[in-house]
Amino acid sequence: MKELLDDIDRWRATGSRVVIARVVDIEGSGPRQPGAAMAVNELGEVAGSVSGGCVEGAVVSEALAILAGEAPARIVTFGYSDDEAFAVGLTCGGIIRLFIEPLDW
Amino acid sequence: MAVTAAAGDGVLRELLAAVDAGESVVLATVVGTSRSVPRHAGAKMLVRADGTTSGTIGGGEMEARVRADAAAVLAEGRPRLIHYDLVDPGLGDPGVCGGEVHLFLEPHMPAATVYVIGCGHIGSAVVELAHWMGFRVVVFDDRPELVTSEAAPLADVRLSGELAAALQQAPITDQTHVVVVTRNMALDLQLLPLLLGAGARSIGVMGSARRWAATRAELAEHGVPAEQLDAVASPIGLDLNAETPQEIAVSILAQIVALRRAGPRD
Repeated sequence: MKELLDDIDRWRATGSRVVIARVVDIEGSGPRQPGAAMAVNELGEVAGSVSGGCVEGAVVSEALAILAGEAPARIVTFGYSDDEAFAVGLTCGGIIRLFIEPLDW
Repeated sequence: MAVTAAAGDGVLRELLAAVDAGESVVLATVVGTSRSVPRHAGAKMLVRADGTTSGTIGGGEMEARVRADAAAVLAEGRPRLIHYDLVDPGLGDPGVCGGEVHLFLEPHMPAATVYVIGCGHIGSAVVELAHWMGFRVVVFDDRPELVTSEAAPLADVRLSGELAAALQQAPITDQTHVVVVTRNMALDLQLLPLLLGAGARSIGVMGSARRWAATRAELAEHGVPAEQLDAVASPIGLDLNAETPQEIAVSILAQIVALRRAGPRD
């Protein structure tokens, strides 16, 4: 998470709020291990990565929904193939769980 | 509609201050709850190595449980997702409010550091690559003229002169990978006794297998314990048939990645 700080500080200096997404669990193969984190600002700009590109786009959508007050801080799961889950998956076939929350400084 | 801030209570700020001060700490975040629980997703508590805490995730027996689990996470150095039922203390549950709570426990440790001993062609390449990979980079060379911002522009800390003094200034921790890439064996013999007992996460020494055999024998003769010598990777680096300084730097950093990421996975 520390590697995101320079970007987060820069964004906050411009008045942007920030959402943090952290990998909290993986099943099967996942490109990043638990603890990997990314940050998203109000413009949808990204720092860091949680999957090497597979789900980052969907995380930005989730983050913007949180900033818009349309969703609470919560766990989001990617990689299921059934209809209930997100259509976004991991190319490696694993399941990844992220905790996405507004950054409260 | 306003966003409800996750109730972090300034815990992240404390986390950064602690890590900057060289402490290892665990951040516990409530990531999911069901039914009735005292705090909700986003609540955070910081657990220090001595067991003291900042912030709250609900108090009472659950926090005591988290302190114990945090100690295990710190020892293992890997984050963990845990889950408590808060139903029946008679069954060992840390609460009675009828809910269930999921917590993410994440260790935060001093920055993983690559400590480069010797700032020649290979040392410079290791500095550059290690920086690119996100390591904190310390570089030492006894020759001050080699440890300049021109020669090693990407190093976080540049040290020269006596190694003992340098180690005081930038200590080796259990998150430090020592890369010994000096110009000769005489220097290795002089420097290694100071480096070997310092508690580094790993230590590798450049040179042929024959050079290491000779170095090792000499060090053993001067009383360096066998277990310290056994811990040394020499020749340093994964075998990539590397030739150029940049290629050798890749093999050295590849070995460090393999070491860092190895270990128990659940």
